[in-house]
Amino acid sequence: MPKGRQRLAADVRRSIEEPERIGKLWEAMERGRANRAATIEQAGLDLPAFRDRVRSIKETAAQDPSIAEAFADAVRANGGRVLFAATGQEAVRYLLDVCRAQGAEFLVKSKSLTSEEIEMNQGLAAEGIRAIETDLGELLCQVAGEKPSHLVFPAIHMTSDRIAKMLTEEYGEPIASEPSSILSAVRAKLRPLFLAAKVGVTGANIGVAETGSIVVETNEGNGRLVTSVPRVHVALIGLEKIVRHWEDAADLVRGHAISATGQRMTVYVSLISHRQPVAGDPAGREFHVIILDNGRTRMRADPIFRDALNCIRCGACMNVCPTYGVTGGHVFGHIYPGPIGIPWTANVHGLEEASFAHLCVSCGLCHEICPVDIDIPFMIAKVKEQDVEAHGQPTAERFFMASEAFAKVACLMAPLANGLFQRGPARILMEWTLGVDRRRTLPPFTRRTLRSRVRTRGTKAGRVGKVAFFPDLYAEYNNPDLGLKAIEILERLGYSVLIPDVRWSGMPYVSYGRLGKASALAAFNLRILGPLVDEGYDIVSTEPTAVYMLRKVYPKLREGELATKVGTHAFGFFEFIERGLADLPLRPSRDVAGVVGFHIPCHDRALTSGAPAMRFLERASYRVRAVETGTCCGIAGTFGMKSGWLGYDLSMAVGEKLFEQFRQSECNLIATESSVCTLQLRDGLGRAILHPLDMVRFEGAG
Amino acid sequence: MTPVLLESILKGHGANRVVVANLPRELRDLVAVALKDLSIAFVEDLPSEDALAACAAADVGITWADFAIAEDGALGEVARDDTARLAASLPIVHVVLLPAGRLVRDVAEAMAFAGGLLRSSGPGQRPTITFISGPSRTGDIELRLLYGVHGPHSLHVVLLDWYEGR
Repeated sequence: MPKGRQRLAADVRRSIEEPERIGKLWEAMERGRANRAATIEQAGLDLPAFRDRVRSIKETAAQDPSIAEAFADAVRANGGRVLFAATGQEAVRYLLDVCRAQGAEFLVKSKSLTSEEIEMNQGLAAEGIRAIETDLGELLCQVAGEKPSHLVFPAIHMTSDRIAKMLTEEYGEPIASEPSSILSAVRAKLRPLFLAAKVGVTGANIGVAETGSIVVETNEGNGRLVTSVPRVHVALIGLEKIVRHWEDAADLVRGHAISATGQRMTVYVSLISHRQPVAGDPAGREFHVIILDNGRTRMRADPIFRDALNCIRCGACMNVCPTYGVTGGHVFGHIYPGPIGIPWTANVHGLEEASFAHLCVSCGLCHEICPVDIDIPFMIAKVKEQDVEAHGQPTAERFFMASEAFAKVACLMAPLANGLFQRGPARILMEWTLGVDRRRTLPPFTRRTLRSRVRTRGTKAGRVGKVAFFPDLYAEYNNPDLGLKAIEILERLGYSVLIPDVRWSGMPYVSYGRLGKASALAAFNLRILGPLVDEGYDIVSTEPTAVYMLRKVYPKLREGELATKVGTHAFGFFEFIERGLADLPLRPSRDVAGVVGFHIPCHDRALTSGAPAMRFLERASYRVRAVETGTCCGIAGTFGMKSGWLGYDLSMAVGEKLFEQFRQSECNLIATESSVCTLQLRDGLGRAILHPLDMVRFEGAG
Repeated sequence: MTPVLLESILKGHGANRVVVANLPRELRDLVAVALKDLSIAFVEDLPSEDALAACAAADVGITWADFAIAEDGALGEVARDDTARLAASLPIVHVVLLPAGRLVRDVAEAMAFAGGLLRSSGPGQRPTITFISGPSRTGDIELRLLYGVHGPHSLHVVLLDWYEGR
């Protein structure tokens, strides 16, 4: 295994075995998501429209270099000074000069991720200037000598006991572990520093070109003090953060607060254009703005990574990332943590620092929650691609990318193969040679695939419409009964059904960073599906991941009309039949006395969030409710089949949160649509997991 | 009514030293009368080197909001001198006087209003505008919501329905 991944595996193991290392992270994430959802609802925000607006504002800001120029001119017209810093070192050197001119031995700072990106504090310290973090979480990290583990809650990994002990030592006076005592101690300790500071440094959440202003948002009010008490204020801003007009800034101010903490607004939103006098005296009050490039212009020119520049640094993506949630930002991050941290790290700190990309399981949830609709998963796939090209690919990943070929052979050998794959020496051998974890249940293969059975059975012509059924691997090679049942229902509803000569959907190519292969496969499938769509066919699949690939990923892999056309005609099975649901004489085939706990597959969260499948079961007289953590079950395709800490163990650590919810839910039946989620829930709960189609029969039929 | 209200807020906090900044001229007398028993400083009248010390030593700051955002319960502070922000940020109690008629609906309207003010003020003459939607707060220790980390622990808004504003 490549060295970077070996280190990563050891780090993952430590996080899982010593959960105190990540503290209340999972709780912070859950609360972040819940508050966000509640505020969106309460504010009556039209989320899709809001995302479109924010995206268009950010795209303009990130792509148009003339905006930063206009901003710089306006800052100068206000009497401020501007530095365009190509690198972090240039920014730090400038700041050092400012401090020296003031005779400052220290400066006070409010929270700035951009300053962490360029390791400003270390650069200043090397020249004898102390940068004092004043945001409480950042200050705690600084005292501990640790990096922030979350964008919004930097010190979420620390307990109050640990904080009290640490500050008692640092301040040389006893501090109780009650959070309010810690707070009082910090306030008392920082106040004289604020009052004595000659230089204050802030980041900027937004720059506004038309008036040469910045927006600084803080909850603690430290930003207010940093920008009012010291004689000199220096603001550091990434060049992608500058918008043209104030009207553009409004949606960003809203977006930051809602997505970061679920607040309607950050407590203090300061619109700063230059210094103000103090009691009428303007003497010595200086304003400097450092506009930082540090790789951004290069990112701007990259067709894939330019999307990262649209980030508003809200942290929503890390609040939903399943593996970040059990490993924490010190493992799942370099300086920028979490999903969006992967493309940022690869681009500003280098590929060598970005091996945590392999913790991404490609669930796609970060894209769904992003207020700027950034395709984070696709950028991560690109980073993985660069990494495997530079450092090689583990055997297990190569094996799972060959799943289709393997399935064909396994079907020829079934049931012999199935006996081998259940337990015992063959699985130990498979783990050694292929890296497939021996503890993971694998689905049995069928001697007679769906296509051969449909050939024998024949199909009926229908008059309502035409469907091309996309079986993907599971319905073709593992569970053709499922495919047949789906086809039967489609025919009952009056559709003519055929199975096109497509290959599998190929998600593992994306998950494991082989975008070239993914693209070639997409091209192959699109060549077959395109003409069918032209003939009036809709494409329907029982596998959520297949629909996700067709609708969301293929159009990205093969930009153009063909992929878009096919994508808009691809449907999940339950979504597609919903119109005809009332005509189906559905009867339950299982006990309906209790409640069905339904698991929503991640890829379906991007499509229908399981709603049509749940309505299907309700139509068959079941009582259904979603049992969910709000994130992935952990298996994420084949990720949780890989052996070891970067596979099965991490997958089960994520899954445990969901398993616990199912155990407490007292559901008598458990259902889900995805073939791989089924394996995860079965392995985690030791119970039968049903597909909704396994739970119905038709009136009059046996 | 307003002086009585102010007096009771300050008594409730056991206030001793009060700094006042950014008030319209005609309200300064009113505040001075209401708080005649306390040590009170109108900080923009002080020499600038004393203004910071006065704010740092005060336990209450009384300042002015030009407008407020109805849907978000946020104040719009317009500062053309930093004593306004120092008096609002350094004391543990912040009292804001707000003309009741100066309300905008939401962030978008507030931003449009603020943007207009900044544009019309001209280069180098622009105020520092701050939206304030509560006392200073943090959740950085085990997600426990705590107030008063750097700025005020308590924020009082006194709505003036008899005064139009400046």
